[in-house]
Amino acid sequence: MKINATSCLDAWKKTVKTILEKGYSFTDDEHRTCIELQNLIVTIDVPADFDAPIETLSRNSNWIYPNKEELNEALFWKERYLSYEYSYGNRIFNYKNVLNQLEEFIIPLLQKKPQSRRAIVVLYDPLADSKSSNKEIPSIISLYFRIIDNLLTLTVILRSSDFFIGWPANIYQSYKLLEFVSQKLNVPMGSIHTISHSAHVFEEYREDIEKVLQ
Amino acid sequence: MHPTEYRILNLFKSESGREIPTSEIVKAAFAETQDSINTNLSSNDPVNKREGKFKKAQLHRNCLYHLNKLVNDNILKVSAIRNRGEKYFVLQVPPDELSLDMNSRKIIISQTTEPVTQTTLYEKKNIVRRFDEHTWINRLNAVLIEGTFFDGINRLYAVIQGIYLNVNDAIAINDFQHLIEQSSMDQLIDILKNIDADAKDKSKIITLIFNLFAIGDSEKHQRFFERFSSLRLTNLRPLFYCSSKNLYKHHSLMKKVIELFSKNKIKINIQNKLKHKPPYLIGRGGIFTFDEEEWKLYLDHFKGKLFGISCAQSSVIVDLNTFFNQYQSQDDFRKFIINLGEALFRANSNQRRNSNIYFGNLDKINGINQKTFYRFSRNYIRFWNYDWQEKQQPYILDLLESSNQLLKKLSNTQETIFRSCGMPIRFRIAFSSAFSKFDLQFLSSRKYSKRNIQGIKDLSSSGFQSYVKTREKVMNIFDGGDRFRIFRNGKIDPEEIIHEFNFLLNTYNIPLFSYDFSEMRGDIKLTRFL
Repeated sequence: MKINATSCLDAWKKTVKTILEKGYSFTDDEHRTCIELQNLIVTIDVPADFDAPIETLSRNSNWIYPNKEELNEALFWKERYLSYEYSYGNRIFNYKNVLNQLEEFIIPLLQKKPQSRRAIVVLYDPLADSKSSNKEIPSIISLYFRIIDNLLTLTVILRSSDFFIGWPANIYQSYKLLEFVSQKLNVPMGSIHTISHSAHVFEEYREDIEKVLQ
Repeated sequence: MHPTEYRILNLFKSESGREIPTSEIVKAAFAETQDSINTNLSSNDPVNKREGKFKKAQLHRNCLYHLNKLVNDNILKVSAIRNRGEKYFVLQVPPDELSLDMNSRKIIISQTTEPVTQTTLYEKKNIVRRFDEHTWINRLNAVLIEGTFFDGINRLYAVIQGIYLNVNDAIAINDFQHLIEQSSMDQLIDILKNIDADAKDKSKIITLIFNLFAIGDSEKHQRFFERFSSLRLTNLRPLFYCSSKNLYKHHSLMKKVIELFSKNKIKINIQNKLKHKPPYLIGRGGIFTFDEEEWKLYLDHFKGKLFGISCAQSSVIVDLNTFFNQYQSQDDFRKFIINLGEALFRANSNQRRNSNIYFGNLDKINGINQKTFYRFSRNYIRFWNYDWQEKQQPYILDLLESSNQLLKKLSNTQETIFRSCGMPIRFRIAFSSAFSKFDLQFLSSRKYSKRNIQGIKDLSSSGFQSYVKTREKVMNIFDGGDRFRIFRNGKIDPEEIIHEFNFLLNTYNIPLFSYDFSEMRGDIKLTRFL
């Protein structure tokens, strides 16, 4: 299923509504009722309001949503946090303490070969993550940068995406990465696509979801 | 602060976490001279070009001087050397802790950002206290060390010395019997004396957990307890982890322990392992323990891979008596508890983000398994004066239980949100009682009738049964652990006390009880029962 939108807020609301209407319900491993659509593609052409969904969630007093500073830190802090099982920044900028995937590979590659179809960043680490006892594994599996019509586009593959609570942070972080690479390459930003293998919402947040959709 | 350093740090602060090459830092730090250098460099005149190169090299040297200074001050660090030897730098401290003020002569790093707006109001009203306010965020409350991880007490001592700075209350050494069997008696005693002196000096309580099932050399243990009890160490707490079957197996050893400990007025702590498997840690603030299911996970997958694990991170103590003197409704109480939950979450968030700074030394000991170190840890809300029977709140137990459920929902939501955002965290809160030693000035005072036992008949009296029944309910709600304290006086017959232990282990649902042999006279405070 594909959803197209011109703003992040619109994409978020449209998708959550679609999941609620067309998704199927099941009980997950943690005994929570989950409503899911599989392999859902969301395309945002001009992601200007990239922080609008997280700002909406931050206004809800039922929880403490991470602020932009925390989200940026988790994304750009290359060191391994001792207290997080993993962090996106560490996987992107210091994969296995060996490779800075963006600055040592993606940026030089696209500088040299703007037409390249090899500009992929992988966050999933089978050696660390593919263990049945492992509770915490990254939701974002890979990031694919591609220059089309002189615009830098980004496709994000998500293994599992809690569309109501998690996707707003994911789209914010995706935008920040796209912005970072775009500035380095001096190529304007284009569209962002997210492909979620499991795009879901939890029944327990229905009341909060309905307030957002109103 | 030097203007160049100010500009450099501003660049790092604005691009938090990014690794920045020297060339880029030079451009940002000396932006105003870049144009003239570029003009010189692009000139066709060889003199101008040479001058451009000279100025560029000069700026590089100047910038490197300040960069090295910041590296020496542990504010920046060299993350890589690439492209013909160019250095890359990263910020070593979290950006939000860096206060940049041009007028200040020093770079200010504020390591404990105040995350406690939610508790401030209640703190002013003397309802809440943070445990060890100054180290609330940058230290852990309690750590369990695995005795079996060490082949002797010397190495364990080195580790304990290393983690004093990371802990503000309790350290427990699990399977201490292993170390007794591995080490020489003189060495054991000498090191325990040192540990006690250090613990006293640094206000720590150390629990020595003896797993009776695993004791092999009973005679050596007897010799150990003879010497140990004569030392009268003040900050070490022996705890016997057992079932009544294990007590039977080590009957003569335990008789000796009772004889020695009662004579020297040392408390005997007995954990009924059939009622609660995870070990208990005794602290100044109260009792700590792990969740049953999580402890099983730890035993199945992680035990033996780490020297130890964190048991508790941050605690607050609530004086219920003072709360209900100022607030009346149950809704007020639930709102208050959620506020505490949020304050603890913010404290944890701060702790997590700065863990590399606060707990970097632990990383060196545990290596790649360090992330597991925090996996079983919880935060504590401790209650004082929860005398539901005599006060105006007869439904306090139900209220505590329903509030605990609210906190569990909050914890689950926070974990879900942060996991979804690519910041997988653990956030759990447990309830427990507070020890009076936490803060004698803060805690409200109450008086209770003297209650103690002189023999097994007292343990089965209807008054005692009814008291225990209520305590059992409390212990169920206090999922962070609680201790049942019994004052034993009268004639001390070790054989009879073994019977009493067996009676308590087999009759009541009390996971942890403590026999106190200190003499009591007159009225005593509630503190003595907690």
